[in-house]
Amino acid sequence: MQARRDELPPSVDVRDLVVQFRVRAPGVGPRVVVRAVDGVSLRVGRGATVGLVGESGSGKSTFGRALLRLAPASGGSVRIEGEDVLGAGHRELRALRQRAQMVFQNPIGSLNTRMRVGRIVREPLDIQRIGDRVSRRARVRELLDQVGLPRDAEGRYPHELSGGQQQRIALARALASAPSLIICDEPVAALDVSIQAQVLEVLKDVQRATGVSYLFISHDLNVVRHLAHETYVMYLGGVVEHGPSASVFASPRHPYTRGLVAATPVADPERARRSPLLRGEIPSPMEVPPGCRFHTRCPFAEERCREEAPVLGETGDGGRVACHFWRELPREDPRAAPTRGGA
Amino acid sequence: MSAVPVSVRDATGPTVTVPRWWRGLSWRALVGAGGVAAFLVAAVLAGAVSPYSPDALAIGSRLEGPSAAHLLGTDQLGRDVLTRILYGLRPSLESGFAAIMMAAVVGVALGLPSGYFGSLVDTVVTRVLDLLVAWPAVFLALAIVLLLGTGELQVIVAIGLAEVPVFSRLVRSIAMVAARSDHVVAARAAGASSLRIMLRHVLPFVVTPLVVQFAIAAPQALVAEASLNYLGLGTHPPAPSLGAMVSEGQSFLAYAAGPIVFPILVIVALVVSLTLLADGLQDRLDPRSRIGAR
Repeated sequence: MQARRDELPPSVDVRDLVVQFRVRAPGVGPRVVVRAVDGVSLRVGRGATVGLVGESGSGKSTFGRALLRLAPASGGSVRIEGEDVLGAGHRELRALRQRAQMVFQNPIGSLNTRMRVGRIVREPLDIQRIGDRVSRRARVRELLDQVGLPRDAEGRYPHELSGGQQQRIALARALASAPSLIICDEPVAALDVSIQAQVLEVLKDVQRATGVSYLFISHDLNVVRHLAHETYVMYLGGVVEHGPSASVFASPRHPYTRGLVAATPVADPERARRSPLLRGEIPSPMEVPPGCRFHTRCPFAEERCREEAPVLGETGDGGRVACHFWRELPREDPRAAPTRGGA
Repeated sequence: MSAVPVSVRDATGPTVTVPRWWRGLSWRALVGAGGVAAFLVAAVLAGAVSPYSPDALAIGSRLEGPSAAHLLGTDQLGRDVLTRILYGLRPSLESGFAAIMMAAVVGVALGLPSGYFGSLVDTVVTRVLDLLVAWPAVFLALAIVLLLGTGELQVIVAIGLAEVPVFSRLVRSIAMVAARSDHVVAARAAGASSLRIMLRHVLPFVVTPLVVQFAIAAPQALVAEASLNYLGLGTHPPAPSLGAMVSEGQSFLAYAAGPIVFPILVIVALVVSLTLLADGLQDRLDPRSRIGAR
């Protein structure tokens, strides 16, 4: 099984993707080009779950949308199951959209509140002309079962259901065309913690049953750690670290990842609160700092970081990191040591 | 906030929803609806209710006051004023409705793509509508009637065209918001075409405000219709119309007030009814006063 999966092209294979927008600077400035995603490569194998983490403004959502051409990519390549997405014509694109689907953060916002649940879930089948009327009905029932919604949900309107149930509807809709990949953009961020766990379990169950792979976009490291086999860390449009989730979270290499991990709340009243390692705000993507894009907030930044952009290099244990000094950084908490740089 | 909850959610099981859009209709809406309904019935049953023909001349009984035979008196040609009012309601209601219908259809056809696509489509549509808006509505209607000649159809086109920008802008603003919502992105991700998205995922959100706007535009259209007829640009005599009756009655005001006062009272009553109905509907249906259904 595993061997056969490896022979197939990955669910999605992204190389050097660039997404840029032309926007007018605040005030009466000239139009400037903003690179929301700046040369990101990423791969999601069949049946795998890959996490993509970063603060708001890091470009992770834009990246997810660009994979389905819902945001305009201006460079690089995207292959879904080996087929080119960015160069696809109208008809090919529609066919490709059967194979990759999305689940959004705000469950009610991603559902048409004027449609009944049954029609919402059936719509991808209607659009893609999959099956006939009878088989579509049966498929909708099957999908509702699969995501753990009651049978009678079919005839209801989304606002009659709870947030967790709404997200299950969105998942059922995403599964309708039997895609190979589902891009989950903060799928549980809008839900209560107790509901989050339920929805995450449903995601896992569905993966076991269908072999679908997930690109799981989130700012919540606890959720990603729980679900993803591999994790990419994004900062200001670029990947700064990538590796198996276990090692990324247990021994983060990049100062940014270390900051994120240190900032993750842990339910332990004994643990002392410490001052945050990450200070300040993520810079505007209109003014990406030269050199290492993280140097303005990095407690370890040196002269070289301001001038030379580090490349994503192998760490030797399956991970990759984009930092000039990751080998030399103190293993202990940098807050114990006097901080350099700053502001 | 005094908005009525749309759904009742309890912790134990599935939710229960009652269709309640009709609840909480105010007295104004009910009075307005009653008035409008009465006028509609009167217009439809004009032939059955009235013993006279609207064009029957009676030279012997000109400009009479109200009596048992002629409840609202007679006009300068001896025609029964009540009969002519009843028959005159028809073109008013028909033209008014047809004009707003036209404005709504054209408004949706322009506003939906304008809001959904934005950019160039939006710019072109908006500029063209600006040309229409730059004119006062009455002058616009006058210009159209002068251009196309007089008659009921011309009146409909004139009033309808004058109302198009209001409808188009309303639809555009809602379409702009809907087009950027996640459920539209989801539909696009599923492979839906722009046409399908506009019709299935944007248009349904336009319907309620459109109904409200329809009700708001109705009294305006009615007054416009009466005005154009008053100016002699609408129906051709001797066909009765409320506006034309007012203008004909003017010349004989010194001898009898009935032929001019009663049509005016009817216009006022109709406009007030429609306005009350619109007001009540707006209170009830305006999305800004709703919770739950977002």
